[in-house]
Amino acid sequence: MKEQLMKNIEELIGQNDPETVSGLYERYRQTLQNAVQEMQEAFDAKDMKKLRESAHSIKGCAMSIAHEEVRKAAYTIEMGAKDENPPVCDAPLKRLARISEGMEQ
Amino acid sequence: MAKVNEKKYKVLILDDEPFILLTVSACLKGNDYDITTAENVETALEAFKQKHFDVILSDIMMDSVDGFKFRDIIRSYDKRIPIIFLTSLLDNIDSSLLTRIMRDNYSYYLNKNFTRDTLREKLELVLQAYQAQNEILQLQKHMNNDLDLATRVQTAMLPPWVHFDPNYQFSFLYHPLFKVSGDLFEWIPMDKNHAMGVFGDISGHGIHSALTMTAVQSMLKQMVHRCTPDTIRPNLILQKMNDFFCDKLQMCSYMTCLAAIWDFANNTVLFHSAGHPDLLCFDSKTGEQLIPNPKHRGSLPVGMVRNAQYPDSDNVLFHFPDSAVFLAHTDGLWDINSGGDADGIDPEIFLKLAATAVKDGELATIPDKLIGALEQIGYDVPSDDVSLFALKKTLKENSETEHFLQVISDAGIIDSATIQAADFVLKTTGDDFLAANVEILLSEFLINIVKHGLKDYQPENALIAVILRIEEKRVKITVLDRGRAWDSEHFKGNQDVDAMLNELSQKKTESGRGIPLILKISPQINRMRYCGINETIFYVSKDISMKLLEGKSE
Repeated sequence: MKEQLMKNIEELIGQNDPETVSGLYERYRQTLQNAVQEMQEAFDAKDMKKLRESAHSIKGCAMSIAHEEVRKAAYTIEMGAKDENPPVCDAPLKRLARISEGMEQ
Repeated sequence: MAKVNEKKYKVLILDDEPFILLTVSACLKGNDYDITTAENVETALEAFKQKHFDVILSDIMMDSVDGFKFRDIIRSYDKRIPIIFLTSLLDNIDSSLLTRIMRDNYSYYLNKNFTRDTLREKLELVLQAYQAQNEILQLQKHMNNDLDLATRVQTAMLPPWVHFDPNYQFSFLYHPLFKVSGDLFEWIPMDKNHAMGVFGDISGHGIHSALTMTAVQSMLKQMVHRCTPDTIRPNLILQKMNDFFCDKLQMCSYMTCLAAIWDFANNTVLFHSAGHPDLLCFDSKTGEQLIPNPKHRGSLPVGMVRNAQYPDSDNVLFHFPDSAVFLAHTDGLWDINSGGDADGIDPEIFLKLAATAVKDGELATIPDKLIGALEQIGYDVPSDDVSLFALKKTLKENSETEHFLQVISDAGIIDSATIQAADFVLKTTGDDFLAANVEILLSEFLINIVKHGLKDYQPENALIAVILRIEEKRVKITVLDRGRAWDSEHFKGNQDVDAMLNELSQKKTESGRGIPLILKISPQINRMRYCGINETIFYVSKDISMKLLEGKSE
């Protein structure tokens, strides 16, 4: 996954700049990790507004580096939170947590 | 893609997600862009106030203030800086979101799945569009400046809005639909008793018509300059104009035209209409309409048909009474409507209003009174240039009791005009206090007009008309100006003038003494506004002059 995301980032910035690419990858990894934590806390507290905002935010980040799996899950959470329907958010949140844990440093 | 030019563009990026700021910055890394990033609206606004930016990239959905509110704040500082919204909302296509983005003419959007190339391409397109819009605005500004100059030149070529001659007086109202007009009015005094008026309306309006009008006016001046009343006839003027349109102007447009030569010694007017609205005439004593051209003789508009003939037999000779008032106008007058798809003015209504206007008051107010009356009954939407001219003979037998002055709003000229007015009053009445009061009143009031009504006005509108009439026990002074509709609370009657003067004395100030002085001299002041003209009437009575004299000796 790391290799694919690094390739995506390289395509995004359009230049062969390994330092920037690895820096962005690491920042994305941390951003996702923080977002999952924020979303989990919001989910547990039934704070749908916060859940929606966090999901929307990570969705944008995932979109920018074409991380489709995260984008889809974040989108489902965003829509579920918007409709105030927590059960819809449960599975994609768990999926995001698994993806985040699986990301190599 | 090629850059718009070699300038390094300054870009402000606002997103509350630092990762997005990093990716955008990475995409724009290099020598083309000078980037400033902000994670919240406050930081973005601080940067915006401190530095000039060429473009803003902004997130929409942010924690504190959303992108649209941020745009509203930016627009309060800069109406046109391009704002590109970066959004991930559009994966759920939301037309209301697009509508909100596009509600502003300088807003764009870019989905967050951009790449370096798509981001740069978007920026280049937006900046190119912005530059093109800037160039158009610059061009528009230049054009507007040129048009303003054209307006000034064209207006300077027209006769003054009011003119008093020992033989006649006229007034002229000119309303171009745009800044310039294709309406033509030329007044050419020929000798002591004769004057020629030429009224025209070039087809179309705007710059094309205005340039044609200027060419025709120049040709007319050259032609008439060499003529005398014995050698010129209205049909000959029109014949030459037709040649001019056909040969020199290549029939690029045509013109309806009325050429008329007045003989004020014999009370006749000889005129010829080339498709132009007829010359109207009313008896100012009765309001009765007189018909100068009962057989509707006339010819084709000039410039319409090559080799068209304008025979002498189509000239019309009309004998008019001393009390006649003539009105000439362009057909734009008939097109004034009440808005929407409404028809223009009903000629019957216009003629009734005209009959009332000519009977009542000063000739110089007639064009404005008429247009003002039309506005009052709902005809207030012109769809063409409008010109309206009023003329009457000045009667010699009144010369001892009435006096006309045209005053340019200049301190030196005002002084000389007020002295002239006082001389007339003194010569007619032998009352030097009355004359002095008239001089003081006029001097103070004309300065008030210049200060309040005509400040920053164009010279052609800054002409003030003063009419003095000696009545049995008083002098009636009518002042007409085309300034703004200023008014003084103090003119509204029941003023304690002595208290006003005392108050000023206590304040030890000279400024502001004008109005109390005017009220002291003329306690009765009538002030009216008709369309674009202010009419102020004062009455200075001989009794007042005596009272002031008594007050002085006390």
